[in-house]
Amino acid sequence: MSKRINNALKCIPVYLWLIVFTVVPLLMVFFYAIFEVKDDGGIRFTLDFLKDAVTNGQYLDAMLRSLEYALISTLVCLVLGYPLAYILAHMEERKRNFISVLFLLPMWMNFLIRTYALSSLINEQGVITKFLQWLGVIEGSITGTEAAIVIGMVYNFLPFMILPVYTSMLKIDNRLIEAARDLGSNSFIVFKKIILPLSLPGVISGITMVFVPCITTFVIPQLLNNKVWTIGSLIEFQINGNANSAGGVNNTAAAISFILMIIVFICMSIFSKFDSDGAENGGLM
Amino acid sequence: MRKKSSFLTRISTLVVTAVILLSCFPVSVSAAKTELYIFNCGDYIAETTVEKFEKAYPEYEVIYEVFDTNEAMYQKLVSSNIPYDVLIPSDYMIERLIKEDRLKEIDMSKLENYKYIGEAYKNTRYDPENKYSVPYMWGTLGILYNKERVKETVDSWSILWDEKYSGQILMLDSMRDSMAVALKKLGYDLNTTNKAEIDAAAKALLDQKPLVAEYGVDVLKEKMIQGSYSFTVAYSGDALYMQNQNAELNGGESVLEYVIPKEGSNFWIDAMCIPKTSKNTEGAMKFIDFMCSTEIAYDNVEYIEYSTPHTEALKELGDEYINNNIYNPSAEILANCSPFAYLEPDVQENYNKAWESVRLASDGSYTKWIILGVAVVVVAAVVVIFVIRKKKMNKLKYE
Repeated sequence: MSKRINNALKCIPVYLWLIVFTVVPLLMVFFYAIFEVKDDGGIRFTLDFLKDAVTNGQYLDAMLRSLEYALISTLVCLVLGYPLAYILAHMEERKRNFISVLFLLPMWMNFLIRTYALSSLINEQGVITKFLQWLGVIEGSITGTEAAIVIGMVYNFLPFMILPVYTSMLKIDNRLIEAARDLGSNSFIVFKKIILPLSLPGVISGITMVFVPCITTFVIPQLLNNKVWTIGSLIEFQINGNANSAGGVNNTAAAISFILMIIVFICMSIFSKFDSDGAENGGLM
Repeated sequence: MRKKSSFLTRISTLVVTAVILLSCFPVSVSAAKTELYIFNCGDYIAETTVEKFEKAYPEYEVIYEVFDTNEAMYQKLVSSNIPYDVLIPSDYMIERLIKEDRLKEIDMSKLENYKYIGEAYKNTRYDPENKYSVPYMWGTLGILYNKERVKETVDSWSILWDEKYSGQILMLDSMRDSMAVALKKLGYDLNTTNKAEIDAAAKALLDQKPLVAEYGVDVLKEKMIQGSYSFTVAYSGDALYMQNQNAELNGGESVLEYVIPKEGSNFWIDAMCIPKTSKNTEGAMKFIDFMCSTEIAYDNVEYIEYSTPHTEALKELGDEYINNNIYNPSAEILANCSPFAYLEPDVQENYNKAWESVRLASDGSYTKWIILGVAVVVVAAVVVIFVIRKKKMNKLKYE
């Protein structure tokens, strides 16, 4: 009995944190998506905001645009990050530690500063732009193009892909690989049957950690290509740029956020499906 | 060992819980100094001013906070319970705060230095009887262009719609300012409440969008200074800054020129006021008076380089500034310019929707349909794989 009370006590700060900073804000988003608070304090139930968020063609466009950037960036992160993590995991320990610190180093800096730094490298006066212009690859600047947004997202979120993949690869028991080789598997089969399934949980958490922040970020597009709004910029404008949203409350922003959360939730449940399949697969073998 | 650790965790849990619970209640800390809350736009005061004030009035401790936009300032003023004593918002926001009864009246006769504020900046539309606000800085909105890239005369907003400058035009990422440009170009009032006119302005901005290289505020400055673009819409203070920086870069003469188009433009004033949240009104009055003293007004204007309503500070800046058409435009030009008015919520909503439609518009790329298609295929594939796997598993079980 006392142990149970003890455990419950230990959990109080965690629960308190979760309730105050996760559950209540989520409920508030949901509340403001379907209730309008009038000036006199009255509350009116309405589905207009949700209807507007779903039927406004431009909002949908913005959502798809953000989804597009996030998917492409996640894919690029995966293509770059997976082999990098593999190489890293197979290095000798001292070298490995040193290089993984190099990957972590940019993460010690604030993400806004990193993006500013990147923007000064790829704007019209930037070193990288000048170099690419000299090579004749591009004409104008990199900033202001859609590629700039993807570059910004990959630059900021690549470590979030590499690290989980790298950790899951480190955990792979080398004896499994040796056994497979003893039984005559070539390296492709080893990769397909052992390394890929066992690193899949890392890949899934990497995808989650890159995809979700990418879809809602507004700072990166605003600093690197501020021509067309993404969904994050739209929500930011609704809350900060809109003189009508008293006290930081804006029904439209809440409704859009709510729809966005549903989309992210669907995407996440698809990703996790892959994960559980992999686990089952591994278990069967 | 085990017992000890569980005892330790229990104690630390209790302590953490207690701290969290306690922090929920306000703890009064008795301080010898009275706190004075100042809320100003970022980078909008000389670096030494607050220090000088605290030296002159050691009984006050200044808590200085900054905001990005007037809207953000309003959100914080209304939603937080910080007892701000002095605010420095723009004209239309002051009009709103007065309408909503959020400002205290200021007794100007108690401000020794109020006499230095020029008459041109008093009796404005937002504060017609000078009861609530003391002008701090002012300026205009206009076009800054690069003389080396633009050979023709620039005197109209419509040049920003000229297709031969496609990709060389920078626009402000600020709703009221950009809407004002379009409204003025079409010959309408920049405070129009007519929905047809607002929509026409949005249509004009949409037409212009393919020519625009970028929307931004601070990021635009560096681009103009480096000479990479032909036009930007700019506030006069920023125009002056860009001119100076560009002159420095070129080693002498600047190639940037500022113009207030003939159709008219926006003439804005930022002013100091005291919100009703203020708990230290005496300190607030002292601060405002201090800001109006010639020495401090000069300090501030020298740092910010926006136009000053302070007659003595302007004199101290010298002829170079008095005769500068950006810094001190002639009365005829100013007469053609009007300040922004506060918009009623339903009108504001029309402006919001108009601006949203401009900023969300993309040049009809079809990639989104590809993405959508890929997404649907992936979902279908996952479902199919899942179903097949499940069937296989069931088969295995029966075998």
